[in-house]
Amino acid sequence: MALFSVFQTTFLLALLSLRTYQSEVLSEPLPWAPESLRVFINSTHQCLHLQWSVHNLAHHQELKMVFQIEISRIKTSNVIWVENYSTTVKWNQVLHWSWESKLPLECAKHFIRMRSAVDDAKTPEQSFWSNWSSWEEVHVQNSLGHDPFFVFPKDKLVEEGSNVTICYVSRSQQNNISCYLEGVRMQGEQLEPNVSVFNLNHVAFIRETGTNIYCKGDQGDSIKGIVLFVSKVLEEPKDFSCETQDLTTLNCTWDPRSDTGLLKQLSQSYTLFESFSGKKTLCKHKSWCSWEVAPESQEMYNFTLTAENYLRKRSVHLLFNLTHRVHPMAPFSVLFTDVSATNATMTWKVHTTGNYYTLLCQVELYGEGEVIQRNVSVEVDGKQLFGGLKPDTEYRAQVRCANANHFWKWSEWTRQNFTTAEAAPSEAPDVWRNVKSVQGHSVVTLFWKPLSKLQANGKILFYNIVIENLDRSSISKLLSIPAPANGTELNLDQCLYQIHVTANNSVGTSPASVIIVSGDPGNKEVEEERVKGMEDGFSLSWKPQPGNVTGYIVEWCDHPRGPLCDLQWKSVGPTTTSTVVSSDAFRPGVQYNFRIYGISTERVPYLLEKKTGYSQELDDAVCCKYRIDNPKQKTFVVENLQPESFYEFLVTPYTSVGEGPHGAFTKVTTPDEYSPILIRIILPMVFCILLIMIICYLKSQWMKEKCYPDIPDPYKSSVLSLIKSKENPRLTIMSIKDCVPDSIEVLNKQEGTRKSLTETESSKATYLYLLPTEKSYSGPGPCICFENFTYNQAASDSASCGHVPVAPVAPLSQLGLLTSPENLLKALEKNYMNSLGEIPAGETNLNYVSQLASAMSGDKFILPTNPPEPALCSEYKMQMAIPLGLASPPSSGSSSLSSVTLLDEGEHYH
Amino acid sequence: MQLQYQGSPFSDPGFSAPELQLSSLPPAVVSFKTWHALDDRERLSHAQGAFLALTQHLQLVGDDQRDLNPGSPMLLAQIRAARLRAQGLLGNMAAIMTALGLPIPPEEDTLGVVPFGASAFERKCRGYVVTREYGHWTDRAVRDLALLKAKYPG
Repeated sequence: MALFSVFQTTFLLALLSLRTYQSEVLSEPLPWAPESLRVFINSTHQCLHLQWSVHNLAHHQELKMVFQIEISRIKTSNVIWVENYSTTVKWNQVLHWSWESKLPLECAKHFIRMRSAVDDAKTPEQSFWSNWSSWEEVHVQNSLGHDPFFVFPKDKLVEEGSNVTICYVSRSQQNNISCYLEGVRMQGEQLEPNVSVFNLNHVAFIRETGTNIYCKGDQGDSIKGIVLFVSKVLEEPKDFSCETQDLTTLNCTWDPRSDTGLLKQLSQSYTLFESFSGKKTLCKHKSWCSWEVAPESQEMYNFTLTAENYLRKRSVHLLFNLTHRVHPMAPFSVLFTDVSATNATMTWKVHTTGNYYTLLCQVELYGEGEVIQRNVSVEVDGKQLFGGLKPDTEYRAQVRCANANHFWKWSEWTRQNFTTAEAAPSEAPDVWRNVKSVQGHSVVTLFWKPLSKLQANGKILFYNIVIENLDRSSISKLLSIPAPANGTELNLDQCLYQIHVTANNSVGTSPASVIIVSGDPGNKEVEEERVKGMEDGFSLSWKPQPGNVTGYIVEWCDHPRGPLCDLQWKSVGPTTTSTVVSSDAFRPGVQYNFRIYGISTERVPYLLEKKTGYSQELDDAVCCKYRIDNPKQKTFVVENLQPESFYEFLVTPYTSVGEGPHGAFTKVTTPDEYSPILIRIILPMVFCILLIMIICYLKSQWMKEKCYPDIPDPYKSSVLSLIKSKENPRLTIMSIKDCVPDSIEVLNKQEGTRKSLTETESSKATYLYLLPTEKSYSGPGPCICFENFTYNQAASDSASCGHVPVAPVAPLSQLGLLTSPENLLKALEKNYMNSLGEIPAGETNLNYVSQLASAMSGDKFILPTNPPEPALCSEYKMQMAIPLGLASPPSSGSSSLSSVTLLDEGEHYH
Repeated sequence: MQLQYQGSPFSDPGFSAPELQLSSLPPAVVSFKTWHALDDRERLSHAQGAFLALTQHLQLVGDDQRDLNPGSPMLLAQIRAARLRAQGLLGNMAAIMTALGLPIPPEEDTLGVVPFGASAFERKCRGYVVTREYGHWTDRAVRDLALLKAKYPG
């Protein structure tokens, strides 16, 4: 026992020593610690790739190990990622691990280190961590160029809705840099003194060509930016389905959903994989794909449709039996054989497939308001007999088929029309007659109604009328009336006739309609009753007839006032004694008369009753009632009637008991009220106007001369005669064409002229005329002409004018007011008169004011050396008393021409 | 026109970034004094060199835009037309230089390996610079030729 205890103690000690040894080993590098750690950068994908190896593994030894990887950013103490990577390590194996950074790697320094542990059941004693490897530093900024700043990442492709981190790295910390997304400034956060980060959350798809993000400094730095390509999220294909039409090709279709295509990324691609055969095909189209059915008649198919783009994959699965997905092609060669009036046989063919199977075909037949549906089982050819069809009717037939054993889908319809053959008309035409006795003959007008389409069974070509003389049975007569006539007139004698009417189409004859006509119209006197119309027509009833009656006929005219009354009738059965007669032709205020006939068993009609009434009584149609108390009075004048109105009059006697029966109404239309009066007035008026026109025409030249001469002649003015009577009989009329309003002439009067001017004053024969501007003159202002007989004794007869002698120095303030002709006239007169007295002897200045000066520019004044166009006013010039000294041209500037006043915008020229 | 296809900021109204330049493309902007002092040979060889560079750059921009805006054939056609016009002008200037007895500078590759590896944004920027300089150089060439025409009438 003691020995055992010693042994145990020794074992424990040995174990303890082993533990001690192990703990010493721990301070040494672990035999399987990661070594040769290298870090590679993939800037495009913002990825760090780690590569390392584990030494000291025995040849062919495999060990499950865990590698703990730590990643820090900016500084080693700022650990941002810790991950345990488990894998089986083999001898001499190089291990790889990748990490994708949210932040572009260029934005900050990264540090990576790792340690390992054995995670293997075979060596549980090794399951503790090794020492950390030394930090590996990744600093991409070192490799950047010399630009003032940079923006990262470059050309990133992300899905819509994802989060993206962007940064700029500036060379200098002083740079104030602003960044914009599609023109909108972004708010960032500073990561380092020279690095700012912008987090974009849930980025949206803007356009296929990408979203621009750019930054610019405030010191005129260049623009730097990136293009962010945001793709739509790839969705799972929808409605994935496969089917075959011929069992040789499968056609698979799906809804591709949104297109994720971008500049940076192609649209998603689709692949079809079938797991039983292991075959795979890349689909050429976005929404469908063809698949060749295996020749070894594979029945089950398990498809996987995979949509894939740069960023992700999406798959859907479909498992089916081929024969359960047969969508047959539409039937063909649809034909109709043995088409009669009521029967037809329809045949069609179906597309055969490699395998034998039965189709279920659905046949539909559409006629007039009816549908016939049949289901037919078909192997190769289909056939269906249709009976009970209507003659001469177009039918539309259609057929489609589906797999009879495993229904999947109907084929498309195949359609074909056909028309059944004609048959003989099935009903006798509805016939009525009107009998009139004319000079011992009966004029029988036969009417019949056209058969309905259902009764005619084809196109009615003619009506046959057989007239049989019942009194002399041997004689009968056949008439054929071509369609579409609906009546005929017969001249018969007073015998009894039986008339048969039949309708005929290309196939045969209808049953005959028989009517007995005698010379007696049968219009025996019967009592007429009044009926009241209702909204839907007239409700008529009559007494049932004793004895055998085969039916009743109600007869009326649709247009009782018209020349053709448009006879209508309605046949009812023998048991019916009332009916409602309605017609679209019924109008309010019109009286309608109805006659009810009974048809005897011998088919002889006889009048039973008469009814009369209005479908709707109008207020103005209600008759006034006059009581004539004198029984001997035979005339009565109804007064206060409306012109152009229709009246009906009825005279009936009355006694103390009541009124007598109502006879027929007398119809009267009152004449027009105004036309006679109008004719009496208008005719003489027309005659008078005509007379005046003829006179005017005959004397037109004289009238024109008298009233409207082409050129108004002032000499014919009444004003002239007025003046002539009071004033100078030598008065002349100025000619407008002689007027030159734009000329200014300055004359220096010698003493000799003063006399005449003085004479002017005494004679008081100064006339001032204001003339309107003539078109030929360029100036817009009025032409003012003064005619001074003192000056113009000789020339006045030739109507000269154009130059305005006015007083010297017209004050501007005064002249400025000369807006109206009257004012101008007065002012000129006044100035002129005043000035005359002030003219110094020997040196008289006459100042001429251009009438148009205020509106003219350029030639504002013309000196005597350059006189105005004299042609028109030569007579006037003759009066000008030009001093000899001034007659010679060039001295004008220094001459005694003292004052020229121009009414031009306040400027004075001296 | 070209800018409208590039998105903000290029398509923003009144966009201008004179600080953007390409080292491979000589800028057209020159002071009047310097420009006027140029002799015929300098004047023509400057323009000739610029349009030679422009034809090569327009080729590059055309390729860039084919990637960036494949759905805009009008834009691509305009860039192609601009390149052909630059080539035409280059030919005319060579004829003038020959007529004046001036040596024609040899054709050289102005781009080198610069274009490869540019990001989409960088390609948009250089498209802007090239089209801008094309406009400026065209204006300057008009002035250059007008001056020469005045100098050598007939």
